[in-house]
Amino acid sequence: MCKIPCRILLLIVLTVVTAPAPASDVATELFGDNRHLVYQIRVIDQGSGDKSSIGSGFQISSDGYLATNFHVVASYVHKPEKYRLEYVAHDGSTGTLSLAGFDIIHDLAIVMAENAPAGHFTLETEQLDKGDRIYSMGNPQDLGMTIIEGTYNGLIKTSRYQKILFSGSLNPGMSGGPGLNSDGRIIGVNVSKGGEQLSFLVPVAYLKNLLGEISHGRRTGEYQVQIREALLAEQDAFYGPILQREWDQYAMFEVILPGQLDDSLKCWGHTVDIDDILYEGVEQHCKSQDVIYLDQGLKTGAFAYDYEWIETDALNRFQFYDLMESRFVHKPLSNSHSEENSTSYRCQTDFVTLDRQPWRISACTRAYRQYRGLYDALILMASVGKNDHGVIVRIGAAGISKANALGLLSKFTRSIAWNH
Amino acid sequence: MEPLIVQTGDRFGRWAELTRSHGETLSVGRNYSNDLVIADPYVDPEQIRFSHSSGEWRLEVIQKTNPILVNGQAIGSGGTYIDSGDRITIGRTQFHVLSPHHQVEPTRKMLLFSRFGHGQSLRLFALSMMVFACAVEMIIGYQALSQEVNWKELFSDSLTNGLVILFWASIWALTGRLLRHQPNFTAQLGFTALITTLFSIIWPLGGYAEYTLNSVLLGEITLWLITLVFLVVLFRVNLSLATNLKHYTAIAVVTASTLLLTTYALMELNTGDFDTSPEFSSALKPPFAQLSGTRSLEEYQTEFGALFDEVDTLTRQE
Repeated sequence: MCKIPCRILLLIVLTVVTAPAPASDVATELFGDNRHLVYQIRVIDQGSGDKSSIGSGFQISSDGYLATNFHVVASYVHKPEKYRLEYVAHDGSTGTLSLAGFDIIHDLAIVMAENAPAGHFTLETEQLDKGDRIYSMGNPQDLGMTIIEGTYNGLIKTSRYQKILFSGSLNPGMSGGPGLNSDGRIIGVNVSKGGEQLSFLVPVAYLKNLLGEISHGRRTGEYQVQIREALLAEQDAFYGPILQREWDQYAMFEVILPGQLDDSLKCWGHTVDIDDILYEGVEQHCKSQDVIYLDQGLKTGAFAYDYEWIETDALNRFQFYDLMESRFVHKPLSNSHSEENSTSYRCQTDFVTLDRQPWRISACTRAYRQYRGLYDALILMASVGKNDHGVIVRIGAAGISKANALGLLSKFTRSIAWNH
Repeated sequence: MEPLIVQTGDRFGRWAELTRSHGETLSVGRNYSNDLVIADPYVDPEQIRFSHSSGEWRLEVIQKTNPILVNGQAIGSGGTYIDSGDRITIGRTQFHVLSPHHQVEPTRKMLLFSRFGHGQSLRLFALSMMVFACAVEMIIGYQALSQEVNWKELFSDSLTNGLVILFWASIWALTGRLLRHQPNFTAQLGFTALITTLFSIIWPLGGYAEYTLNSVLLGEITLWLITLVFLVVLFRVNLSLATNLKHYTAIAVVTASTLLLTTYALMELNTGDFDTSPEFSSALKPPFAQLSGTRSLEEYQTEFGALFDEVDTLTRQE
């Protein structure tokens, strides 16, 4: 009796009840109210007169300051003679931009718009709760201004540079766009994407800092000098406490190694598990989760280390050392520098005795050409005293000072011990 | 009167094609009426005549469409006196004129064949060397394995190695057939297998030299030297079996060094000055191979610190 009609009726009722009507209304309202405050930011190649990269930006003051990401305007910062900055407003009108200042560590930049219209976003001061609906605006892939809706999921703990976890889907071109709460106040700046429905925003506090410093005239001087100073200070702030504190120990069979060096690192373990294999292998990888964007093909700030334990009773000593040799490779930093940005590596390989056991250690470094005092450092170590078991340690640090690299080598090697 | 002997077809290892004078003259040309008929379209039908007068032989020009050369020098229409051993060129043909008392090259002593001969023992030698080569290749492959014992791969590598040796020996046998009219395949095979196998055995010494002496440079020098010696010995043996050339060792040294220098130059030219991955000594060998002493941690740190100054100077170079 009334089976099919009743089900249809029920379905209609349920649909009406569960539809996120209010949220959509908020998004519609926010979009309507604020679209005139969001711009497309363009970096124009002076040679061709055409845009070479795009992003989004939004107005944060009545005198024409727009906020965006550093990586949106990076090519202009590095080569101001080759590029110029331009904005496109919601109605298609364009205007010239000048760079007011940037925060390379948190990937923020503030630009000044010529003839900016009145009105601006307000920067939020109150904390959000996990689960709050938040919204993000921007111009994805040059397709036009859009708004997306998602959830605030707090600050990421394993991060060197605090970021908001936004469960929504940012797309290329939306970088630099505003992250809003339901009142239309700025809570962050769109910055990057980690996966499906997994995006990151720069917390608004850093934008406030930057704006304050610019207003007080503190962000002046040559761009490359500002970048260098910021990078040097940041790596000191990261490695300083690590080198100061007491390290946890991590026992890997017979050898004792440093444990997780910082909360911002993520560590993963892994056992080599292949049928009929003639050795046993156990690996641990620890890695920092963020890198600092400097320029296309140039990133820095990565820090990672690996341990690999190899043990065998089936391989003879020649086979065992062939295996060790094949694993004796430096950790790739994958920050793909070109000759313009860095020198080639120089390495020193030697036998060094650590806790009465011989090790083969290879340490390499290369210098950043534009940022004096910053280096990429690689350390590779293999225990070479036994015929059937050994450990390989790989450390990679991008954008580190000489003192911190030497400190890292010293503290790491001194922390290694054998369970004799 | 001493007869005149004309040697055409100057080919090693075969009866020389000789024409001997029977009287006071010997005519050379393309016509069939000549004493020596030369089927060369650049030679005149009646080109030259050798004639004996007052105890000497003389070259007389009869027809001359193209220049006539004696030891590479053109002669005039008046002809010239000739000596034993002179090289005459007419048209595109060369030959030598000789007296019956012309001095021949001293007899060469065979080095390789004095023990093996050409018979059963040589075949046995070649076969055992091939087995040896394949076995050594398998042992080397076995020493390098780490994941699992893959017999199929070991066999296939060792057979591929055998095939390469076979191919190499065949090329030299063909060369020998062309230049000496004797392939000497068995000997080429046996010696090629022996020499390449010895090379495979000593080749890893490069890695050991690098590890033991803690120097990439010394390791590389060792490797290049080993390869040079290997190539010289291999070429020396191959050449002596396939040709009758005079200075085998010198030719082998020149060929091998040219080959290696060219390879080295090509490698250097193709390596850019800038590399995003580090170059370092990556050799790891069993504990007994470590002869160079260990550094203290402090010394090593000082060395690492010095690298920073080194790369700093690089940043100042454009």
